[in-house]
Amino acid sequence: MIVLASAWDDAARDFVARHALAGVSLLVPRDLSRSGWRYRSGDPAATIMVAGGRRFLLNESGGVLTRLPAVTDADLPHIAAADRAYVAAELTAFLLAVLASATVPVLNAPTPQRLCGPAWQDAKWRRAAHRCGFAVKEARSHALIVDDAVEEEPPRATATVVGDTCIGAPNPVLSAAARAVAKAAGAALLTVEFDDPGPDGTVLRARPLVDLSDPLVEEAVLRLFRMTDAGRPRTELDDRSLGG
Amino acid sequence: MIVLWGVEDDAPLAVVRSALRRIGAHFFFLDQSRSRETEIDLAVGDGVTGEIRLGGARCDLASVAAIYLRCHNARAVTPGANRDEALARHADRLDQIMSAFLDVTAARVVNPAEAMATNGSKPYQSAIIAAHGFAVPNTLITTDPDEVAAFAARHGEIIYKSISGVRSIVNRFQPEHAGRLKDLVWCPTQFQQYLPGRDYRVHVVGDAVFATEIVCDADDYRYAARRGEDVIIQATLIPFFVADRCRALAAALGFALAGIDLRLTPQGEWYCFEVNPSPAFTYYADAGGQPIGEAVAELLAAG
Repeated sequence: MIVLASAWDDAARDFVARHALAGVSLLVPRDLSRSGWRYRSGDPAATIMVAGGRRFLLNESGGVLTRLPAVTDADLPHIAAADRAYVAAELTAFLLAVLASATVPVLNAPTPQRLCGPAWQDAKWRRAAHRCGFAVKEARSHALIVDDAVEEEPPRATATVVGDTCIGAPNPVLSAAARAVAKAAGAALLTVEFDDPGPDGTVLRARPLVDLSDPLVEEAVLRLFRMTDAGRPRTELDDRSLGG
Repeated sequence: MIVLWGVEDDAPLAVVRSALRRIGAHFFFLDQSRSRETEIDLAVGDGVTGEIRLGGARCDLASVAAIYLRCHNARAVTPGANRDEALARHADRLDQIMSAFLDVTAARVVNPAEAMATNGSKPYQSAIIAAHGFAVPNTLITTDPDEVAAFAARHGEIIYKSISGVRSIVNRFQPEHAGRLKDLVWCPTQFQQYLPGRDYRVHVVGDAVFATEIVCDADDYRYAARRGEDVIIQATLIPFFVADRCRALAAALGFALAGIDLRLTPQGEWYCFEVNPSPAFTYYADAGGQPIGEAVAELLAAG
């Protein structure tokens, strides 16, 4: 399995360290500035990635766990400052094409607006919950000339969806709401926030990322990727230097 | 109510505004350069309600039936925002709330942000184009100079261009560029087989199709004038099956308005390079004498 994450994503780094022996590798934006990447239109089986110091065919990996919304300037300290914004846009566009064409599981599947699932604002998460038949509290937002202060209502309960499993929901109603919203968004991995831990709690928002430091979440993610498959040997394409 | 979102001097927006006036359609122009005078309230729950206030004008968000976006970053087009951080934050907030509204409104949005984002990755969009029946050029994206050499050997002439939506000039790869291939290692770069032929820009507006033919010898006609080369743009007709394919492709991408770049090869094959979700159609409409702005206005008025 490949974990695509920012170099500053400690949870991703720790997760990879815990499972490195099982074949889990970390892919950070810096790895895209190494020789050996290849993407051919209409031929996803030919895609070669470079991660963890190795080149391998993407379709021989066990899948990709994506935790990177987009490549940003901050991810590219090795690129000349004047070029960083352009390179960040290019790398994001490249990763979208690679991940979207992959024949192995990619979770969360990228969307055109985000490399790790849907890029929905709070309002859209609430509309999704409403469409799924769950009560929602009206969210008010405003842009006023005299006072633009924005206060985001803090969550009082969360639930984590991993595939068909819901972890940490305080009651079955919120568990059902979390799973329904995830399904509506097409997100296999989702953290859903509620305004109240009781059965009358309503969806505030959701994030297409999960807490990999939670052992239950970690176990569910690994199960989803069918780690036995991910642990199979990969084809080392050659031993030439990975420059860059 | 129709909402137009953008800036005063945007040519397509100006043309659509004029066309809406001619047909007597009511519209509200949300001019991003007037952030200082603009306020928005949005409430989302069981329904979507709210109001835009700009100067003395008001727009009830619940009554919006269609929206045409030609928007920029409001911070960048608001006079004084570069010196006034509070104003800049207000401009950002206006953009953010409008985006949230567009995400949840039942109105026709031309075009939705999620659909438009497909144009941010050319190879991603190209895969969708290929799935809808058009030929697409063979493409290689790599950080490996040896891959480029093999690709060039296979295709003879090749071009290179940006992967993302950042506009770049399409250039033919020449032998003298070989020395720069070592720089590929810093950023995957997109190469495509060069395809000779005649360029066409097809605008799809709802079910209407407007085709223009571009006669030009440059690799990238958009920059031909800058290089002293002639460009002739003329209205034309395309085969029915190509028009139908364009309609289907635009619909599949979620675009009510699209600018589709095609090339007809000497072998008679229609290739599609890209689908632009926010086309500057006036460049083609002016030269080809086509009523594209009127068609957009009618589309918006139909809701």
